[in-house]
Amino acid sequence: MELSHELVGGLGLLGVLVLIILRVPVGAALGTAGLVGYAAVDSWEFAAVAAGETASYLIGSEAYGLTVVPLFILMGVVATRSGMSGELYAAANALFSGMRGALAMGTIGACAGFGAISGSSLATAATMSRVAIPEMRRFGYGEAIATGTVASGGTLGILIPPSVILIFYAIIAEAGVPELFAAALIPGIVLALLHLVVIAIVGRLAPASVPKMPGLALAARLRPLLRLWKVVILFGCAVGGIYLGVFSPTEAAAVSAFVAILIAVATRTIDWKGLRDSAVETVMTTAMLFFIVLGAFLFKEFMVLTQLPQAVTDLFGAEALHPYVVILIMLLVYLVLGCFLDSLSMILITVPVFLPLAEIIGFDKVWFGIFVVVVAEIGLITPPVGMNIFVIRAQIPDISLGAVYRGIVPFLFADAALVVLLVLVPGMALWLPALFYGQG
Amino acid sequence: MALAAALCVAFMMLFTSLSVTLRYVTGWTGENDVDIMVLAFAASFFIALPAVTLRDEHVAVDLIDSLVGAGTRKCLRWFGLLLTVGFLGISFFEAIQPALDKLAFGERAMSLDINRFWFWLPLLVGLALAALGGVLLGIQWMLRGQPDGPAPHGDA
Repeated sequence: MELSHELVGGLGLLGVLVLIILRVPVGAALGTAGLVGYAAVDSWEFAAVAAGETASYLIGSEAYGLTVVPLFILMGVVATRSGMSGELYAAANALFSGMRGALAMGTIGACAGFGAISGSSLATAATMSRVAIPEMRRFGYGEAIATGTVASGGTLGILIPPSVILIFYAIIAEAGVPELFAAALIPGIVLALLHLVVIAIVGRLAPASVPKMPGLALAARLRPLLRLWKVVILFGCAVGGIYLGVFSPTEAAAVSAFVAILIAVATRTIDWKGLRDSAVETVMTTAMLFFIVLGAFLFKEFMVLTQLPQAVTDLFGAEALHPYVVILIMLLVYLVLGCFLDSLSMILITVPVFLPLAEIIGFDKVWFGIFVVVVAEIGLITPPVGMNIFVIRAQIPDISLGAVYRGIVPFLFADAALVVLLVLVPGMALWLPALFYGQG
Repeated sequence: MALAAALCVAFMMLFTSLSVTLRYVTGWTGENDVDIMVLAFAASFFIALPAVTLRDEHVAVDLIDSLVGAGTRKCLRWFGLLLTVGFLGISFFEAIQPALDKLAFGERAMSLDINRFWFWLPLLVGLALAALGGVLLGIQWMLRGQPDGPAPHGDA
């Protein structure tokens, strides 16, 4: 019995998910599914040739766009190791001091700020859980709100530019990194504000778990804020440089990493061993991520060969569904996938299938990138997997999983509100790219 | 190997920072930037890949670990390693011919005027050593058993 190419494509998608659940490394799962699928549609000979060819994407001149990834990772690792997270936390606390839930609000502010220099959700959650949770516990915060704040605040790291996940989306969707960084800024700020609203509401409903502490005097507030100069400089280089057209993304990443090292050395917050460890951590993380990309390239080739994306587009076209219904279906798929996949895998597997459909029903490639990242973010805190939950458990082992889950629930409403806003007001993501680059 | 890869990333950072500085200070624009950066990137990624494989640090989802017994868990890790080595091995094997073609036909990089084979070399070495790293990891498992503990998690 001969299977249609589209059916083979569908089985390939299912196969990759099964392999990942069976604990096969994500890159190998994508590569194997791509290889076997390619062979089923064409031949083993061409499948093997395609494996060799896709590996060469990482050495062609088009790979220049990929060089931004290790450099931004380096900047984030150096910023983390040189203790900028503590300064951000102190400054954010000073800003909100005197309000009910000031420490939790400060944590959100610090997560947003740290996301702006680390580009990684897990790094943000891991760092902030060490800094913020002990402090919140000390001042009588409930375990649920303390852990929920850090878990959901950590997700700001992949939305607020520079975001490593957005760079990978740009690679797979062939979209511009500067446009995506510009598009992510307003949704990132709005999400941070929504999280602050959630804390204020929880503080009103359960004041015992969100205590109020006396406010600081003006001078005591200003002092930690003034120490934020490092973060301001790094964000200015990394994101401001791109927005203003001073640097290309790769240049911005390289200069910011260099400046991060200069600052860390000048302020004696990192030593030679710390620098060496930062560089090693950077390349190990890069190799882990790009092994997934290597598999994803082959899987993408297989998807194109099966014409599954076209079949999905035709199917939805024939049903003449309203674009919002299509987006809702995609959202549900992402929520289900988010229960057991990490955000990068989710994006690399689904974008080749969903993006053509999203474009045909009238959604912009840049907007879709922000939508996908926001939904993938929700996946990071969705039980039972929710990577940020595990990161917090790893840092603070005596906190119960139940408390983390309870703490996350209110923040899921904030995430849902952002998704609704993004769908109803696409300009929220597209206004800045249009302003800076005349597109979107 | 991780240290050698780290040096490549350090080079990428310094080279680009210098290039940007020269552009703004003297107006000099580097013609070879793209090729040099791609070469350094390829070297850093492909040199680090064997270390990641040998340390069993590839990103995997360990959801199933809590649902199955120790024996099944062990089998699944072997299965994952087998597919990883297979994928790396096939990619390496199929990259040999195109790499040799570059050498034979003298195809040169766009701006850096060197044979494109030099771009393929880190790819070949990295994929081969990564596959070999997987084999060594398997031998290690056979001799000393699989280490306990959670699966490596990773995310951007």
